[in-house]
Amino acid sequence: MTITEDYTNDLLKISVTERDDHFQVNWQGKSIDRKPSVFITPILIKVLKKSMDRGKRMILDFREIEYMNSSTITPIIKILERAKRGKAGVTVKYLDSLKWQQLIF
Amino acid sequence: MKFKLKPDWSQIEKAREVGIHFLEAHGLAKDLVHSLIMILSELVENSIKYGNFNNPEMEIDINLYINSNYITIEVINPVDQENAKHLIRLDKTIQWIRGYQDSFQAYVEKLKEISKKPLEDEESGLGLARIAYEGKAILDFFVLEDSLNVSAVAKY
Repeated sequence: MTITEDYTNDLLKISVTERDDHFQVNWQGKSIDRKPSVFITPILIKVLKKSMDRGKRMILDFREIEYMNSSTITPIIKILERAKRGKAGVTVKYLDSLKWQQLIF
Repeated sequence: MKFKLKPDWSQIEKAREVGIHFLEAHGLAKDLVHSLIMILSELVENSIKYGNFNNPEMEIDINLYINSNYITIEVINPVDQENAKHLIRLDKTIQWIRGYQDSFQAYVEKLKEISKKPLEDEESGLGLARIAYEGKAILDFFVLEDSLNVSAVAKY
């Protein structure tokens, strides 16, 4: 059985699903909050901790996100850095066909 | 096109919609529209964060100009002496970005800097580097009387 936890803040939705060998983190909508890290950081820290505890990869899937402001990129970069330091496996999925996603990731 | 915006965070989405409508009406490609609207959003965010809106009547002025090869996005907001430190930081950041031959390097340097900051540090400082790199735009600003005019010029 897989359980998906949905987190919504304004126009942004983050869905976290634990699978056999990874945590799937899907991003949808737009992230345009003034302080998006208040919403995003606790979710990503929780998933990162579980990933490391259970030896599972964390997959951040941005293919369905329409837009994110630069304040949204900040907590993502910080979590990726911490994942690297903690030697957690992380995969970032984005749409190569979308120029803005290609340039960011 | 020129329009005004109240300095309220909820108005950013409205500015984006107005901008998208205008740029699409000029037949610009989807990727380019996305890139230009990112520039508009980042500049308006900075304007709301750092502008001086003491009077409830004060608004943000937004100008979009399309020439044969260039698109200019101007965001103008009131400032006063209290904004001096932000203006100095704006000047330093723009000069810092210009110091790189390739804006990608400035963007990467900024990401490296951010990655080392504490999680609770909410300051991004990434917006202008993103405009230069992702938006491929040249940033400039000037202060005239009590107004700050920040512009981004993108070639297309």
